Amino acid sequence: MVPVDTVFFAVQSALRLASAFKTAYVEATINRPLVLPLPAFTPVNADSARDWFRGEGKSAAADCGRVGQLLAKPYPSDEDQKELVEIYNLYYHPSAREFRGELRHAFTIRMWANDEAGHPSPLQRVAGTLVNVAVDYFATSPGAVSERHPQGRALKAFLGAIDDTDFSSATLKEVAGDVLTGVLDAAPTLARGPKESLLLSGVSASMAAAATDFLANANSAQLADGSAWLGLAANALIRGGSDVVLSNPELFLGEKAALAGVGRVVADLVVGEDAPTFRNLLSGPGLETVSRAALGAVAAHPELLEDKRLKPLLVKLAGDLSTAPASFPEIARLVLARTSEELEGPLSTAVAILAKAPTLIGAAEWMLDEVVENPDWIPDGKLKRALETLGPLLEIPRLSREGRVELLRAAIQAASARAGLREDVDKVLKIILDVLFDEDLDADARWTLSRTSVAVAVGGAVFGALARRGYTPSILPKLKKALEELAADPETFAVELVEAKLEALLKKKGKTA
Amino acid sequence: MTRAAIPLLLVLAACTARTLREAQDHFNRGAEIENTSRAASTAALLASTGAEAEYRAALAGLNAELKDHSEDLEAEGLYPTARLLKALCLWRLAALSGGGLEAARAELKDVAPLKDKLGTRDRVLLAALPGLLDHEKGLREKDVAKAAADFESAEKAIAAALAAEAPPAAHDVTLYLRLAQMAALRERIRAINASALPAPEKDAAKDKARERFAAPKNALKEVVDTDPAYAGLRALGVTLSQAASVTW
Repeated sequence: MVPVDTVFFAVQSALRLASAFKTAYVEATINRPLVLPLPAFTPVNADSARDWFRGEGKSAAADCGRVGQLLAKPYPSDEDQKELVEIYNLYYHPSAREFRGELRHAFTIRMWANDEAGHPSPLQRVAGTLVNVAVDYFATSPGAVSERHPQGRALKAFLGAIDDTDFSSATLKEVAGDVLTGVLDAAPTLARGPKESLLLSGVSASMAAAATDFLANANSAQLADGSAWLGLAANALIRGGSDVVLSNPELFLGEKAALAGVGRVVADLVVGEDAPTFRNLLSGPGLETVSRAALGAVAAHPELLEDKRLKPLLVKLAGDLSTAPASFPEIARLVLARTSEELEGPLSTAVAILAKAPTLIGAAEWMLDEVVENPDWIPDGKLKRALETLGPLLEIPRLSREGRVELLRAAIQAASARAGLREDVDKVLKIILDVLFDEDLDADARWTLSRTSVAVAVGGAVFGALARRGYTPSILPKLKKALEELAADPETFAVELVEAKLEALLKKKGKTA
Repeated sequence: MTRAAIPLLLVLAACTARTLREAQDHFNRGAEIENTSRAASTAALLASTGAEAEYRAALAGLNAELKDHSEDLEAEGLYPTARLLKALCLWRLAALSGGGLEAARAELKDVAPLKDKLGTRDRVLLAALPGLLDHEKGLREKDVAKAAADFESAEKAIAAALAAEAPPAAHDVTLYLRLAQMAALRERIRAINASALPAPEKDAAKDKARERFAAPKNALKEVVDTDPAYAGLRALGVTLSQAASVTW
């Protein structure tokens, strides 16, 4: 049974909370920024020009005979007036049109008090915006503002970070609300503790730094986009990377401040020079994957950040994968999980090949593992060619994604084992696939032969035998004939028969040799 | 039950504030349309229609709220803010539709006693609004001598408002009104140029206006040249100065 005092306290608290909320809401309403239009004025005209050339600009007029002629005319024509203004602009104010686009921000008038210093702190500058965002955010769960609640703690950590931040203020107003929302949305994933607060502050500060560097001169549309992306990045870093950060607090939250570094890289990706590329490649979950992978890579190789290699690596990946945007987050994750200074080049080469064929994307994990095991694997020109030619061959609708990877793996492993096979591996695969997926097969034969499982088994048998026994180009027509003979009778077709026939062929080849 | 009741309680309690916020949103959107259309210069007519519609929506919301819930607004301390916003709406509507300025002036008279209940920005705007209305009057005046007088009155009223309310030099509202002063003086010079005064008198009148121009220009310049947060206003200050043939 609930004690009377508890119920009484609950009601009292609810009323207090409602009253406090109401006060905050009303104050926030009074203090909301107001946009004002500047009273209309006439821009530079012929009178402005004439006045200037006759006054302060006398010497300029004396230097230019044409100005003297125009000023001397008692009844100047429209053309004369236009010409005078053009000369005036040339002489005097080439930058007059710069103010366009500034208006929206220039005249958003905030309500800070009379007695505040002439240079309010960053937090003061955006306090109104933040209160509005926070009030709207917490409107349906006002209890969450409490420091006992993760979102309440997140709000406090964010405010602390903002107060120490040098946002350029025009951007701050726009960006702070989105970043705050991103942080608050991610906050429930965090436990309570000083490290968690540092994590939130670090992420917020990184977003602020990126906003200052890249959005200070943005127009309103760019600012709105950039702001939304920074909110997304803040959210992704906290959601995706908090466990990585919190398990390496010394690296990420200590003096090295690696969290700020990674945060900055992630933020730069979405608002920096390469933002158009990355925005095309990333969504919220994708950004989370990349953020997590970047933090993981830095945890394993802190020098990746210290040597400023992390961002170029991601930029290179983005460039290579621009034709396969959906794959970027996953491939980036796979590469970052394997990267080191020595492996960067080979991994990058592998990704460039992967990007050329959708089939190969499915084999990315295996291929990248092979690269880690043998960094010289891909740079071998013939193998690279083999990889590039195998991908398109495997684009058969009836082959499953896993089946394609298995066939690719069998082919490449055989080609790795036998140098002679590297140039012809695609020919071998083509023979297998042409026989099994022949369009002219009748329905029964197709039912038996045109299956992923059969293709994988036959591919495994053929490539396995070639890897064991060796390869010469003369085997190709014999292989084709043998497979066609077996496929002619689908009822008796069995992988064991393929193996046996192949062994016999290769034995003969050995004897001939 | 308590958990469910809290949001409901909050919603009811904050009802008038929410309506006022909607009016603020309409007003801000209208002003943004005006500013954007000036920046883009194209489709200005279409934009001004959009801005007018936003101001009308803001005004309609405010009128309804002031009529039906003025006691609630009073109780929550929102009444002065709502009245000032109404005055601002009337100012912009008069400017865009070319209608009379009397309604805005009458509203200002009613709001004036509430001055001490307003925040800094709103208090300064309330004091400066008669000047902004004079500027509008000057813009539509056919007689250039009268127009010059309206612009002179506008600039002086704004200067007086800044002097009386003394907001910080780098306050948003101060900078806005410095620019408004410069705009009024630029228009005053234009009106003098268009007048039939003999050349020496004309020059003397323009010199007087330019002398006054120096004060708001220098005050603005000091802030925009030293505070990066306001650097974006520099180009506008330069443009206004050049239009008035004054060195920035």
